[in-house]
Amino acid sequence: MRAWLRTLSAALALAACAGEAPAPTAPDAASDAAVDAAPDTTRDAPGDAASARDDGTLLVRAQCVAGAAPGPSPLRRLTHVEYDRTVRDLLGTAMRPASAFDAQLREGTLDTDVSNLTVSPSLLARYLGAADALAVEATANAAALIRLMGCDPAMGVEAACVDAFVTGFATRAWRRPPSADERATLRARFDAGRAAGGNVASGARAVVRAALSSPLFLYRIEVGDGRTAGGRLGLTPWEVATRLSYLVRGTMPDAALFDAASRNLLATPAERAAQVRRLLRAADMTAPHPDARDVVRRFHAQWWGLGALDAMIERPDGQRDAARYPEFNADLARSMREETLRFGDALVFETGRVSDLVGASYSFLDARMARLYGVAGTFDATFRRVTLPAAQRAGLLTQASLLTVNAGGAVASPIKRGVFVLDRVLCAPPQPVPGGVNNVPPAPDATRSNRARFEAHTRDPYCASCHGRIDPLGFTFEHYDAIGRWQSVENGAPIDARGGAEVDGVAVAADDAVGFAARAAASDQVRDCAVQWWFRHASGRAPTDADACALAAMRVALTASDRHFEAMLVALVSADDFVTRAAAP
Amino acid sequence: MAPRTLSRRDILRGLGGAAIALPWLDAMGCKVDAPAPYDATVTPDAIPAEGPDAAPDATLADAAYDAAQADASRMRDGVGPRRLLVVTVPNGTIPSQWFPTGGETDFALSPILQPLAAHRNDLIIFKGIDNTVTPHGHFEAMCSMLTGFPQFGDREQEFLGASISLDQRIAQMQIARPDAPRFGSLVLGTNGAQSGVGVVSYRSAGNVVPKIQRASQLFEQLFPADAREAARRRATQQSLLDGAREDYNRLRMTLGPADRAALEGYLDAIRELERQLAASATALTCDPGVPTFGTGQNDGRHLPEITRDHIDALVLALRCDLTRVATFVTRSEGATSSYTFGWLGIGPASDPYGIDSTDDATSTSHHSMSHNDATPRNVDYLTRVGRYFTGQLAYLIQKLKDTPDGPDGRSLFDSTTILYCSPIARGAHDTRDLPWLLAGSCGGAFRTGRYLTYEHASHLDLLASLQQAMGIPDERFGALDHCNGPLARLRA
Repeated sequence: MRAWLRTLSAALALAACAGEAPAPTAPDAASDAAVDAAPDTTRDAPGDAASARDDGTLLVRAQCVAGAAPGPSPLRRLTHVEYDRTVRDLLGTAMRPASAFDAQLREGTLDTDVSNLTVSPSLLARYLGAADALAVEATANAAALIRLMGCDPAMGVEAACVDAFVTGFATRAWRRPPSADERATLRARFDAGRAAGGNVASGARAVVRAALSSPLFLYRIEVGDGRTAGGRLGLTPWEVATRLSYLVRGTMPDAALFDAASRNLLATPAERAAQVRRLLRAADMTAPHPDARDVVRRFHAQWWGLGALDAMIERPDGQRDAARYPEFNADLARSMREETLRFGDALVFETGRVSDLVGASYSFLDARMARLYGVAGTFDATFRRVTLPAAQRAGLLTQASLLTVNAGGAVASPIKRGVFVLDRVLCAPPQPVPGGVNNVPPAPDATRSNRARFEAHTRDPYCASCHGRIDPLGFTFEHYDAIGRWQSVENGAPIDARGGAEVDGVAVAADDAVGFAARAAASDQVRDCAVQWWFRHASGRAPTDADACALAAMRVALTASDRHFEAMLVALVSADDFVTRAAAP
Repeated sequence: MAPRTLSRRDILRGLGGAAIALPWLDAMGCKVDAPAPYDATVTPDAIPAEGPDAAPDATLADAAYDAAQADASRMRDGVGPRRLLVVTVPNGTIPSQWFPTGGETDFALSPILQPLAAHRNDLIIFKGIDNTVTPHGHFEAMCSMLTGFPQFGDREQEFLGASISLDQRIAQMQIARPDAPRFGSLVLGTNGAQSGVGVVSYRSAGNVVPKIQRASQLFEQLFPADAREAARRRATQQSLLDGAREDYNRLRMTLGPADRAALEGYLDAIRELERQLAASATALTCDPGVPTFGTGQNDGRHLPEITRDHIDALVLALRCDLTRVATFVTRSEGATSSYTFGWLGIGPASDPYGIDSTDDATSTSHHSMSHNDATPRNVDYLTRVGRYFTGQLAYLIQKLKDTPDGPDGRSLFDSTTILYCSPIARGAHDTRDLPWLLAGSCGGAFRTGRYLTYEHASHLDLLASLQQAMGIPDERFGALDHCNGPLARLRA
């Protein structure tokens, strides 16, 4: 631990927490409660993270070695949202079958993480049921059938229409042309279906069912083009198109991407960059494309831990002490969420810079949020860009959504807030709470500050091994109450929000969160952490040392003076890693 | 595209089989990873994504055969096939209110165990059982409790079990039996996360078995309402499964080893569905009646009702011998458990049935109270909560006792044992002195009516005992450096 932090921790540890922790009870009741309550000094300090790197962060520090094999490309199943969008684009259906699938997202992870993409028998049963229902709908009447098949089997030669349909549908469903063998199998399915049902619709239904039940549809299969060099296997143009499309729009490639793949245009970084720029935007090339925006919003909501806010929107009662926060309700929670997602949109679609993430002087408010933040002006139900009160707000970290999620029902939680910033913004997550500790702070009281309550609670040197990092960072947010309102006085005394954290290996001290944000906004650590979260979103896994080249390219894209998140995405798809995968040993 | 195309039909023609790929690939000179037998000595991270192609391994197949024989012989004496239920309760207990007083046989039940008084002689209450694999943590303990290995994942939220869980290992054996039940196991839960702190059952490393969260859904799965519709669904499913399997076979050959391993979970799912389909085509041997299940939301207000519904549906499944293994996660663990207990008078005045997101000493959320378990109020509240959960266990036991099993006047309970367990010992995250008990002798495998104390025995020893009672002869379960073999003094 750096000297500065040590000093700060020592200051926090001044008074013992004896008054707060459950005192050991009578010796004979000792067997259980008392013995277990005493910290067991024989244990390893809880801060010793086996998984963390030497500097206590999860940041990849390896140097890019040109030509080295890239990191693994794990097999990825479609996420539930991707499934729904893909069948929408493939079949034009309004059905959303995935709403009935087992939810697999774990709070604190991304839905694109491969660890969330396993297949259980019950999920497979749902896939089969959905394939059946979608196939029935797609062949429900003559008009639907012609739309599906792209030709009218009643006109001309039926066999020619069927062959064209089988090839065309399989190409789109499996995101690459079927092999001769696969075509023959599907054709056989058609014939069997047609024979059993006595009409073309039954045959087409069998093809759709089979195509949608196949692992070729459910997974993003990458077999490569067979060409290996330096431990890399090249991807086919179809696989590259699929990577681009799911990365930006979370769905199957559109006609333009399929066309680019069929003409083998995606091999050049310039063409991939152009495709990313195109995919991000709607047809007019100005507004975000709705799918791209949804992908970005979903990612941001997961990265920034807004799941808890969704729960509050769904069930606001009991989430906040009604006497203290009478204005808290589902509408306010919804506005908080929208502010943050709107802010995220601006980062990606309106050339936001990485320094804006933590340091932006602007945000997007509606009337509700303006009232909460005390921003004067005319506001209504639409969100508009405003310059924030500079002494009170800066960037993402002081937004009411995060401050609310990381608070208790009655009062703010410096611990949750500190842990959040460490985990999500600095990529230096603390270790899980160890055993043998009472981590519940005493009840709020009117005689002392929130900070004082928590300081007392974490004075124990054993606790301080982690809380020495968590609490000083969390205390910088003491100006914000449990719904993110700014306050200067608490219980009649001015608020002390001094604290800080180690950023880029250097102790950063600040008077409050805005001060911390100013110091951290342009740091390498915040930038590198954002890059790693994006990499993870794109790759379905956390980065490893083998990803150093792609990460370096993304970092550079965010560092150059006029660069922004879109440039980072362009760098990601331009990298060689995006069009190759590690060759099987 | 696919660099190597090898027609499946060619293969089938040559080999005339309908089974799946491995041996053929070997025969054709493709390099295939040898099927890995279950080996508890390897570190969990190194466990190959153990696919069903590799299983059932020889031990399990033998065990399945022997278990069926043993059950058949016991059934000739009027005792039903052995059954294992795992019921988990969240956030530990108040030790002073949980552990009995007195000796091995003359013990007196504690306040929390009082609701089980009528079943005192059917219990084995443990003291001194520790989860040594992960000495603390809600997430960690949920991951290791039934898998016997530490979790994997860099960040707490990412933690997942790193190996197959005990219930699923026994389920694998069950479905390998000649008299296999329709379901290897049933995994139930009331609500909450489908991973990490919400589940304890894993098919393999990272491969969660999702909880069925509605009793009505479980019942529909067990006893489909409309037989004709069910038959149509079966036929469609079967043909889709055939196709999926064919695609899988073709695809598998084009993939590298890592992708192939990742796809094993998919094949596993195909196989399990096929098996369930085949089994569901056979007629039921018993009439489940027409139970009514609550229709209330899956929330805190309806928890008691939902819990009862689950127990009722589960007992029906056992009565009709549709499964012999079940796991019931009564509620999620840890900080996700900010729920309250309105029906026990515990909860904020504004909404006693909802959640309480205060995390300080005033909180009435289960998680916060359990961390702050030394105040008189919380000792009282948590004792009531503990009694609520043991009351549900008593309901389950009584229900099993009231359900006849076979012609000789035996009950389901006679052949069952219930592992009643919490991942941690108490709110402070410790996993020493776990508040665990067994209810039921498992068809005479265990001697009940006892309070057994140990000098820090590993919980894996107890899991090894359960594994053996259910017919898997392995001496140990989970991490070998923690498990010392079956727990002493347990057997009848």
